[in-house]
Amino acid sequence: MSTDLISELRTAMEQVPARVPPGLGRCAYRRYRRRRITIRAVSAAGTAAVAGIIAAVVVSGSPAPVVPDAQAAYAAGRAAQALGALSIRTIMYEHVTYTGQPADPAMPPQDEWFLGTRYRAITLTSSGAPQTDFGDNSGPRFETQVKVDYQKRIWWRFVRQELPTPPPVPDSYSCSAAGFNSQPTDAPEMAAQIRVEVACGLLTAAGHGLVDGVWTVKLTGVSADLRETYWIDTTTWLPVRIVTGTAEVGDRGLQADVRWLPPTAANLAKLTVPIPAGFTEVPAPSSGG
Amino acid sequence: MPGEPPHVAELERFLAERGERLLRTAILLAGGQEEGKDLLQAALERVFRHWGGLRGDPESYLRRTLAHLATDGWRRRTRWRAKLILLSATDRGCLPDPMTGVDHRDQLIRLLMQLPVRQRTAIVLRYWEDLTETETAAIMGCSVGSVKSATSRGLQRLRELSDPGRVPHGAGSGRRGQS
Repeated sequence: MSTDLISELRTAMEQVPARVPPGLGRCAYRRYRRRRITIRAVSAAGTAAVAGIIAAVVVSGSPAPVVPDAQAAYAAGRAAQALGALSIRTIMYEHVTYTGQPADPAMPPQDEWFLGTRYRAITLTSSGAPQTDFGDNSGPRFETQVKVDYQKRIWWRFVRQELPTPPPVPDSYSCSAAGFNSQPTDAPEMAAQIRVEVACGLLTAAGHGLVDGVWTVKLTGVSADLRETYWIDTTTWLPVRIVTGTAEVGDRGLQADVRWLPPTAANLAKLTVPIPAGFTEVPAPSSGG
Repeated sequence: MPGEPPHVAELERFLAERGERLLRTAILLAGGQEEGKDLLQAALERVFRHWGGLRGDPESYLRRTLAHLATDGWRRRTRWRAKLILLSATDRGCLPDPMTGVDHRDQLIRLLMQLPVRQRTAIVLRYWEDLTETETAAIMGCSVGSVKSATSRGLQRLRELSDPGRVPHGAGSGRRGQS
């Protein structure tokens, strides 16, 4: 083993800039407090939602009580029930588009599929043809990635042998953590996120609207500099559209049209990246895609 | 501050002494400045859940939590955030460097960030945190042999990356061709 390399590595790591923001511990404590209160609030709001009761949640130390919007709480409760009733093998499919004008080449439309550890994303040209096709399967002992580049007519495969993963630290949701920064990757995550965002007063009901011919209830809100809007199907109570973007009216955003696909053979095949005939295999990037 | 339990001040004092080192660990594990701060913040919140059992010494718990969070798909959940950063960047008419923040003027750190997360975690804990193989294994929830293997493969891969002309021996990189 080269002690030179280890010595150089230690020196390099020592030089990585790291400045702890003042008050980080106090900030973490406040977030912890809010998280605890939120967990109670979510449970209360979930019950209240189905019963149609307004749940008032007083956040200790905050200037005003958080009062979840009653209509939003009802919709969130119904959505959580509907999402909770889906099979664990339900595939979450999203067609993601950039809503700003003019179109931004850095934000091409994208089709995404999520199922457990499996993920696939196809970026599309403006005419709907595939640009790139990327698949990722992160198991406990391996990670496999495949990427096809349709413009360059090349593809690569990347396999990581991973060590056994320790038991995951359960994540939870809070007013501060939920924000609008995370993307749920399955139905339970989406249910938890909607319920917390409503319970924390981040999302309120904003009327009804048609999405692809389906009547929906619209939940919307602003957090930090981002606006998030959910459209929830009033028949199935499943979310069918989510838009997250900059808070200014008419500004840029990412629109995800969501479909919940049963695990049929045809739908499961969508999670696999096909390698087109005649494309050239090239070495994978050293750290995958 | 009034109304706060005393352990908040204790944690602040602890962070004043040890925070920089832990933040650097978080940055190295997460692969970026902002990602590292997020990771440390998430770990600190968890400290309060278990403060009673930590007996005023949260360091080992924090280190373990950082390593767990870094390897449990936390990165995958930030995929959307990366898109939003891109979205915000278009407002300013510029695009961010996707390798945000870390001082990648240092080539070795750049190469370290290219390692699989488990190999990187083993190397960071062994050679940045100066933990023994046994301590590293305890934190990563695996055997000492696995730590040795991950460290060895990680170092081997670093050598290959830093010297692309070198012919790798065996399957040190953990990468395979098409199966």
